[in-house]
Formats: sequence, C-alpha cells, structure tokens
Amino acid sequence: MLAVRLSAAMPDDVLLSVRDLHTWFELRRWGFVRVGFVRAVDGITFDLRRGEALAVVGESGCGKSTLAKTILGLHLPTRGEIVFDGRTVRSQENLRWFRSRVGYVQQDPYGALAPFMNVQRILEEPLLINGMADREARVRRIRGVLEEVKLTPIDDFLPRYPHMLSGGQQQRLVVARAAILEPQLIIADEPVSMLDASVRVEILQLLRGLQERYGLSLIYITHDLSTVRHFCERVFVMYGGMIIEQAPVANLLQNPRHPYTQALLAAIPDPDPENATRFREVPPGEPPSLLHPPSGCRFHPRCPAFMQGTCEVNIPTNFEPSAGHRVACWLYDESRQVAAKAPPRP
Amino acid sequence: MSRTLLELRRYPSAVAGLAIIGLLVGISIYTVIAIPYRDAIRLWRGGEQLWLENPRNARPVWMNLLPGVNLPRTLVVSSAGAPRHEEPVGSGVRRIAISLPFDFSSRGFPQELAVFFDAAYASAAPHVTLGWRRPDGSVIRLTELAVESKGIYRISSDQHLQQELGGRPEVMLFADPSAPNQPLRGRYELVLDGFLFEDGSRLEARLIVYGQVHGLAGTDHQRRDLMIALLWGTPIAMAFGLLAAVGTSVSTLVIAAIGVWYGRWIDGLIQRITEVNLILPGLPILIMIGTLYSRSIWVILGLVIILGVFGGIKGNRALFLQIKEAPYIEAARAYGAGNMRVVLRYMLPRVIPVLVPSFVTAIPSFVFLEATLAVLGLGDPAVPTWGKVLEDAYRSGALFVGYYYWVLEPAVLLMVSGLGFTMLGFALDRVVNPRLREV
Amino acid sequence: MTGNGFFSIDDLRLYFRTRKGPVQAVDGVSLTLPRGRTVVVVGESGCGKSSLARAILRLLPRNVDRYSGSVRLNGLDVMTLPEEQFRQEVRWIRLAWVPQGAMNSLNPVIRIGDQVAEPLLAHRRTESLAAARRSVEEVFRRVGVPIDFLDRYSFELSGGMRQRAALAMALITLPDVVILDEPTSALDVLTQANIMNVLKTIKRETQTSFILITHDIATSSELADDAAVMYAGQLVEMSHADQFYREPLHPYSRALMASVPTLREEKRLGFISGQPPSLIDPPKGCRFADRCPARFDKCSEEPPLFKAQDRLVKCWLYA
Repeated sequence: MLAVRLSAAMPDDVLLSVRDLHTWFELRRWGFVRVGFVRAVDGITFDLRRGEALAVVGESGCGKSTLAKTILGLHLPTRGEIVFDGRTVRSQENLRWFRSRVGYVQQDPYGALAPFMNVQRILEEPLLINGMADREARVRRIRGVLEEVKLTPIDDFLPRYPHMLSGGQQQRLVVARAAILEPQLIIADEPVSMLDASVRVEILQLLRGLQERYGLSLIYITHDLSTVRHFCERVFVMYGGMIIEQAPVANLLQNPRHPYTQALLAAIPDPDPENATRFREVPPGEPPSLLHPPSGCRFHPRCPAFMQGTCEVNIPTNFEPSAGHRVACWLYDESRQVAAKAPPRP
Repeated sequence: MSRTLLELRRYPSAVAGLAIIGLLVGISIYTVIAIPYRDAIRLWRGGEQLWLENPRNARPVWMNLLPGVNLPRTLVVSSAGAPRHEEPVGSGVRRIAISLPFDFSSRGFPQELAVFFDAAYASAAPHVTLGWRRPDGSVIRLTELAVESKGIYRISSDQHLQQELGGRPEVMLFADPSAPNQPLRGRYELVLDGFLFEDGSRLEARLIVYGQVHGLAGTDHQRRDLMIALLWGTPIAMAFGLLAAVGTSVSTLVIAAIGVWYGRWIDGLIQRITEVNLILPGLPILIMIGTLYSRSIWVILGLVIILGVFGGIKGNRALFLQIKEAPYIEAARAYGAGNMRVVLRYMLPRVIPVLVPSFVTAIPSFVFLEATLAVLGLGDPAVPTWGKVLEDAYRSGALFVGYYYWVLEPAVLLMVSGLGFTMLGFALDRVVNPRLREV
Repeated sequence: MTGNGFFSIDDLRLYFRTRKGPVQAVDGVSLTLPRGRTVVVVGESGCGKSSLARAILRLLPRNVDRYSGSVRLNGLDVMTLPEEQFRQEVRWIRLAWVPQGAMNSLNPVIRIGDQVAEPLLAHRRTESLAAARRSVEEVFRRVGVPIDFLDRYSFELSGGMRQRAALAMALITLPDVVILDEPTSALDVLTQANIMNVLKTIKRETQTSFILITHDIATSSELADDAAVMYAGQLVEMSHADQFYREPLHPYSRALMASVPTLREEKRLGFISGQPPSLIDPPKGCRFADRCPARFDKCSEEPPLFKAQDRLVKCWLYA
C-alpha cells in the first residue's frame, strides 16, 4: 500500500482552508450563571489540498471530534473562519452548498442510520434534500454508490433495515451515504473504532479507494496511530484543542519531535511477544481539562522536557525543524539557546 | 406496523384486548346505524309518553335463565282480535261486551296492571264496567267509568280497589288463596261490559300486565329501555376517549418537539407551564366548570384535553432530547436537512411508536373520567352515556332496593372496555420497548 | 500446554435459549492455565469470549439451555459445587472478574474505598472495618491509586483511575485467577499503557493468573504468556505467546494478524470478507470454512484440536 501519494504531480491548490478556528462552548450553572468556556478547539489553522488524505490524531477529549463538527457546520465557530473551494463558509448563505460537497462518516454505524428507514430511503434522503427531482437519476446514483461500496447484490440490500445488516455492512452504507452527493471532501470521525479488527481494514481501504478514484480529499480522525500509516499522507497531532505537531506520515513516525507525540508512539503496542517483558514509559497525569486548561503549553504539566519559565508562560508557536514538519514546542525554538536534553526516543 | 401486529399475536392478553376493542367498535358502528342519533335522543329524552308500555325498573329478560327464577314478562292483550259482542239496545245505544283473556303461568306477580282505552265519540263518552275473571272462576268487579278518548285506568293505582281487596291489586288479583305468596296460574280474563251512546262511537282497549323483566338490559325508573343508553354509551365513550387521547397526545407531542428544538426561553416557558399544571387539581376544576358554567360534553372534552396536554410533556421532552443527540440526526444536518424535515421525518417517527402504548392506555382513563363526572351529577344531561345510567341508578338508590342490574350493566361495560384497552396497551408496550420483554 | 494445570476448563459449554433456538455461545472450550501465567483470549464480537467469562464464573442468565463441562481450580472441579458454596468460596474469592465497562459501573453514591472493600465485607474475609481499610490501602498502592482517593466518589475520578479501582476490587480478595474482559478498550492510548504497566507489576509481584479477554491483538501482546483464539464459540488455536504473535497457525488467526495495522514495520494489510456464522445453527463442518482461503474438502467435517509442536490448532491442515 502506497503511503505517500506523488503530490508533486498535482497542482498545489487548496480545497479547504481553516484559519484560526476556535470553538468554545459556554458552560452555565443553573441555566444562567456563566462558569466558563470549554475550549474544545482553541486556535487551529491548516490547509487541505485537493485529493489529499489528512489524519487528525489525538486522544479522547482533545477536541478532534469538535473540530470535525465545526468544519461540517454542526457547531458554530466562536472565532476564525473556514474557506472551502475559495468561498468563506457562512451559515445561511452558503451552508447548504457547502454541505452538499462534504460527506460525513461517523463512529457509530448503527447510530448513524435512522432505524426506521431502509437502505433505499437512507440513500435517497440526501439526494431529495439537495434537489435531485428526477427519480431515474436518483435510482442510478443509488445503485452506483452501492456498487462502489460493494453492498451487492444491490436488490437484496435495498429493502433492508439497518438492524438487518452487520456492523461492517452498516458502515459501508454510511460511507455510501457520505459519497452519494459526489462530495469533494469526506470527513471520517473514528470510522472503524467500533468495528471488529478484521473489518476495519476493509472500510479503510474502501475510503482510500474512493479517495483515489475520485480525487477526494479525506480528513481521517482517529486515536489509533497505527492505521494512519497505511491510509494517509499527512498527519496532525492534537492535544488540548490545539495542533501540536504536523508532518507527512513517514516523517512523523520515524522522527517524532513533540514530547507528546513521542510518548504516544512509545505507548502504542505492536503485536510483539516481547511487550510482555518490559514496561513502557508513560508520562504521568491526565489529559488536560478543556475548561481550565493549563497555562502556556497545554502539555507542560506532564512533559519530561519541561522548561521552567518558558513552557508554562506562553503557548508555543509553530516551529519548522525540517521541511513540511511543524512542531508547537519551545524545544525547537532556535532563537533561544535552549540546552534541553533530547527527549527519549521510543 | 405489520411487524408490530405480528409480534402482538404472541401475547394472549393483546389478542383478548384487541377482541374486546373490536367488539366495542362493532357495537358502536351497529348502534350508530341502527339507532340514529336523533332517534336515540328523542327516545331518551322523550318522556314517559314514549315508554308507557314498559314496566318501571324491570330486570333484564335473561334473569329468567337463572335457576329458580321465573319472573313474568309484560303481556299486552288487545281488544283488536279479542272476542266482542255488540248489541243495539235502542235509540242509538249499543251494548258492548269485550273480553280480554290471557294465560298467566309465571311464578312472580306482575308489577303493574293498566288498561289503555282508545275511544272515538262526538260528545257522549262510552261507559264501561270492568270485571276480572280468575282461573278459579271467581269474578271481581274492578270499577265503573266513563271512557275518555285516550283514557288510562291504572288498576294498580286504584286506592278504592286496594282497600276492597285488602292489598295491592296486582298481587291480590292474582294471588292463589291456598298459597298467598304465589300467583294462581291459568287463564285470566278482563271483561269490559258497557254502553256506547252514539252511532259513530268506537271503543278499543288494551290490557297491559306489566312484567318484572323486560328487554336485554332491563328498564330504568322512567321505564326507558336501558339498551339504548348502554348501546349508545359505547360510541360516545369510544369517541370521547379517543378524541381526548388523540387531542392530548398530539398536542403534547407538538409542544414538546417545539420546546426541545427551539430551546432557550421557549423551552423554559413550556417547562414552567408544565410544572404549574402538575399542581393544578384536575377533577376539582372540572367539577367547578361543570357546576358553574356548562355541562355540555364538548366543553368537558375540551377542558379535559387542555388540562391533560401539559401532563405528558416531561416524558415526551425526555424522549426528544435523547433523540436530538442521535448520530443519525447529526448526519442528516450534515447532508443538509432543514429543521422542519428533521423534526417531522427524523424525530417524530422515532418517538411515535414509543408513545402508542401510552396513548392506548390513556383512552380508558378518559372514558372513566367522563363516567366519574356523570356520576357526580356533572354529565351532559342530553346524552345517554354509561355514566348517566350510573348516575340515575345512584340517585334512585338502586343498590338499596335491589336493582343490581342497573348498576352492574354500565359498570361491567366500563370495566371491560378499560380492560380491553389496557391489555392491548401493555402488550404494545412490551413489543415496542424491547427492554421490558422477558427472554 | 504442560504445566501444573492449576486452572483448567474442559469442554465448557454454555447455550442460551432464545425464540429462534439455542445460541451456542460457548461450544466446548478447553484450556489449561498454570499458576502465575496469563492467557489472552482473542476473538471478534460474537465469538463467545464474554460468554466464556460468564460460564467460568457461573454468572448465568435465566435463559440457559445447556451448561456443562468442568472448571478445575487446583484439582477441584468447582462446577460440581452447589450454588451457595460456589458463591461463598469460589466466586470473587478464588476467581475474580473485571467485567467490560467496569469503570462505568462503579456505584456513584458510594465512596471508592468503601466499594473496593465490599468484596471483603460481603464474604466476611476480614475481622474489622479497620482491617478492611488497610487491605484497601494495600491494594490501592499496588494498582497505583493514591491513598487519598479512598474517600472520593467515582465521578471525581478519571477513566484510568476508575479502571484501576475496578481492578483493585477484583484483587482485594487475593484471588488465584482474575478474568479481565476488555480492560482497556475504552481508554486512551497513554492510559492504556499505564494500566498495562500496573498489570505487569502485579503479574510480577504476585502469583495471580490472568485471563485477558480482548479483541485488540496488539494490546494483548503486552500481557500474554499464552494465546487462545476463539471463533464462533470454539477455541481454534492455543499457543505460547512468542510462537503465536510471530507465526499464527490457524488460517483465521493468520487473517486476524494480517488485519492488525502495525506502527513499526512495513506490512501488507488484509481483511476477512464475510461474517462469522450464526451461533444459533452453526454449520456442521469447520466453522471458518466459508471464509477460509485454504479450504479443502475435508473441511466439511468438523476438525478436532490437533497438536502441532506443543500448540493446539483446530484445523485439518495440521492433521
């Protein structure tokens, strides 16, 4: 499986541009006493090229799902903007247009399907909503997309209800629904974490196949770094609502820079019997509260390379220690003469 | 839907419930066709005139099926086919003798005796003497009177006769001397012996021996056949229950959906109204309105719905709140579904199956509410309902006097209809809510 | 699989009665576990591994169709014990359990310390409340929960801490065998590694045997001394860990291993098409036959467990 697409052969035009995105949720006690803000997405900026597959990796509570939903327009950004295909996305104005071009694949395959609708109706809804009046055209589109996801024989599946499908089939249906409007971007939020191991690869390969055949962009959100290698070109690591490292996949895995990324990689096991004989170094503490985040760098309370007087004071900006590889960590600030010990490698 | 019906077949209680409901619906349809509403009202409120030939407070005819019970039915003996003898006696006067025979074989005494006359004359009324011949040959002179055109001679109410006979006429005229508590069985005859004074005069008479049993349901204190009220009570109860249940369910659903979807102060307002409504005492308010304002069944229905709407909001709201967060709703918004579409096509279909059981079990509670109001004297006086029958029975002290049928019949109907709906409702609940199912 | 056979199950069967027929959730599973060793039971959803835990612990629902076989603990067949004796002497005393989602099932109105002490108090294994408290402190130290958490409620704890508390609850009676059902699937990667460290420490310091039930093959390698693979209610392979992870034998095991993405090595990923068979009316022959790439005619007959160099495989290829 090719891990890196030959992007040099493609023109560098940007499909999605996210600029300084913040999504904060107001927390009120007793309905009206404002207690604070849950800063789920706290300053995210990135560009996504056409046809690119991007992975967003992080643990639960880091804000990655909120990022996905904000991009999809399910949450209103508190600050910042989203520019899609050259146009800024604003609600009421062009949200409908935007939504018909972005597909959404969710984590829970059964929950994502209306239990009282059969396969045909589930697939027909997006078409009806987006104005495809011609019945023939709809039928053709539905059959086409079912072929793509290999839910065949088609006539066998059309009248079935979600509870009559297996987990893998349900998720394939969700992918079909995401693809049916011929989107330019598919956002998949933990698409395989609720599926069995033997089915996961199938779904991921399906998504990858769609992406390659139709030149779609893909944002793949997951906590499982091991899958990223096989399906994406670029990867972001999120922590505490911010992107702390972004790089091409191979670079990140071979040479992780941020201490958190390093800890993450060190903690992920491969099926290896040697694992039982050794302990893993794990940073102490818990993921940060998004309501009362730590000052400065969000990771500083747990970081083995913590530098007093720097890390807890200011949020680190992005540094670029090598081409295409950005880290938000003061360790890589060349302007300061920082003689910090190199963080342990996995 | 069809899946639900198939599932229901597994529960005997549901099948029984459906059978009962089917029966009630069948009765309702039959009643509305066979006795149109206008006729029913006319009969029910028509007054004694319409019911003259019915005995008062008669038990149902099927009581005679019970062992040892042999109560008489009403006998009508008409002079139309009876032996009569007319004989002119000069100057336009005719002597007339009419014989009204009948056989009496019951073990109980008749309730009442009356003679209905139908005379036609210009100015001089016919004059007759009434005699009573018993099977043992004895003849008792009852009375002598001038017959009016639509006159009624109530033998039972004749005080003079009562004194003469030494007891109530309907008993004494039939009593067996050897066994005074039992009537003498055999052929009786009422003999009319009199004079017609004009050429054109005519005289017809009908003897009515009022029985103690009448009809399938008996009669009430106004001699009305109770079947009318019982039959007509069915569609009224069904309609009231159904309309009230539908009215409250739909309103609750819509209001809860609006509250949950739009949130903020609308939701807060609805919540506060709901909480106030929880404290309001429903029955006393209904009684108040019924006493002071109007007892019309439509007013009561409207009030019941208004008071009931906010009762179920909390439950519906909880359901909607859960569904609102469902992933498939999120997905729908992501592919562009508008608010109305989401509420109508994605949220409601999820909620409705869950609400059907509570809807079904709500129907009998409204039926009972209407009956309660009627028993308390606040029922619609114009409409024959089961509750009204109960009220009449209560006011007439039916249980003290032994007229159990009067109370039992509407009560049994109320209970059976309640049972039918609740059995169906509980079974539906088990079908629709799998967690309640036993493995 | 030689060893002193400290804990073993033999032909364990658990069938459930449903409207459509009996579900053969556990269909003749046998395995041996020496003292102090850990066996991982891997399989996908619906293979019967959670039912296996229930079968071992005799936690049966009302609709049991068949429950047979033997469960031996140090020579004694605990299946033969009457229910009350099993409850008082075996369950949670010698055989303990951390069920799936245990961290979410802690009682929110009882303090953690009190809840962890409950197994001791319920089985009267302690002389006084003070002694119970000391035991709780001891086991908290072992699993890595700070002592001052004794008086906190479960909702004040993070997911990782709650899972440690659930683990403490299973360890407090010093059982011989602990069954862990998906102990880390709902946790973050870092927390998962932490819990695994805890389990490794306990493994090293005590002689407790573990049965780890999981679908996550990569994580299972953290603890495994032996590996057992379940498919459609049956055990299809049983090996030592170092043999299993490097080279699984059964075609299902191989396919499963091929579908696990790896971080550190280059690999061609595969998947298994189709679905596991229904447990209500399982196919007569080898249950994996329809999906097996190496299928041949003998497979229409159910294969027994063959011995292949000290490993067990339920496949005609190793006859």
